[in-house]
Amino acid sequence: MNCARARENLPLHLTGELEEEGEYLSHLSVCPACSRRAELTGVVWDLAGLAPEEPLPDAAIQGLYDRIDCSRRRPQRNVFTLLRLGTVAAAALLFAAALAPKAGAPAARGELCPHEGTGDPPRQEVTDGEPLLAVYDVSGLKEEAVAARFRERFPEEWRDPAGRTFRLRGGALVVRGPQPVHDATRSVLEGLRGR
Amino acid sequence: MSEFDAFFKTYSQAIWSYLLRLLGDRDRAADLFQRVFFKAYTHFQGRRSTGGERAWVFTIATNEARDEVRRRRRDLLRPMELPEMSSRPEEDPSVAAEDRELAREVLRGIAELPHHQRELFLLVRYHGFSFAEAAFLCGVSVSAAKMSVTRTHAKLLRKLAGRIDLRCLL
Repeated sequence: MNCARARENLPLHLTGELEEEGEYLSHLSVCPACSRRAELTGVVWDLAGLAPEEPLPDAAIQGLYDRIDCSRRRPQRNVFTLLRLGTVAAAALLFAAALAPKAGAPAARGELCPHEGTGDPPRQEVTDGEPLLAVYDVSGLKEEAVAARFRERFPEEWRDPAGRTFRLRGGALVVRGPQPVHDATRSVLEGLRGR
Repeated sequence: MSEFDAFFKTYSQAIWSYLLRLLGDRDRAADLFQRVFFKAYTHFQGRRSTGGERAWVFTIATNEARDEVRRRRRDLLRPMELPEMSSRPEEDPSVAAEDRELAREVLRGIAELPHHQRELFLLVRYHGFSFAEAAFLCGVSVSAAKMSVTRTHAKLLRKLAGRIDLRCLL
């Protein structure tokens, strides 16, 4: 074993993980520099071990169990609860869709939603102040490609000069804003589809 | 006693010491300690195996501490404090006063290390992780872990230069 290897092995020697311990010790016996280094490092290692351990404060334990108690009191929504809720919601939507009058042919993949361009007023959503202008199905496209193209085209937080915003949500491109969707959005998507 | 209580009893002191030495701030360590064990509690039933509990809880602690350090970097008004190393009643009376003072100096040196070096040194020195385990836990290679601990030793030796030489000659 040479000095470089001995230096490399010193941490393993200290933790007792060194497989070539015999070789290492033989090197130390003939190399005063490595022996001195090992001795000093060993002293630091031992001194670090003398550092007192501070006991865990009771307040930290109490705080943790308070947090746990608090979370137990909160109503839990596990996966099954959410699935049940989702099933009920889906059934309600299907029922509503069956009762609703047909507004036209269903949107083909990548086409505008029926309400866009049909003369119907755009649907308002409570969660976002801006009216919903259109939802494009982009599930056939790579989401990163759509995101990259829109970011490139509308770098200011996916907002175009007319104030329309674009969001990708679960394979859909959601467009909101004060005016109808203009051709630029359509042309970006058509470009991505290679039309 | 529930399974989680037994788990908590086994690892709470070790995680507390780790976080305190890692962050050097009792309040932040206490807050993080609660976050670590709360996370462990919420994922306790879904954890992959019961065999690797120690590595699992230390991984949570390491990740939480990293997040905390990132947050603190943004919080320029609250710089990191060095841990208080005053003498305390539970210190072993058989340890010579000079050694205790040197040990405190070593701890101060550890507190001054970059965060990633401190993580590795604490895991290997105080918590019995092998280099391979500590490297895996910290997301570095084993050789990088060894190199990091070697550098830590070099820094600590420089910090104690002169004082240890004298002690070794006695």
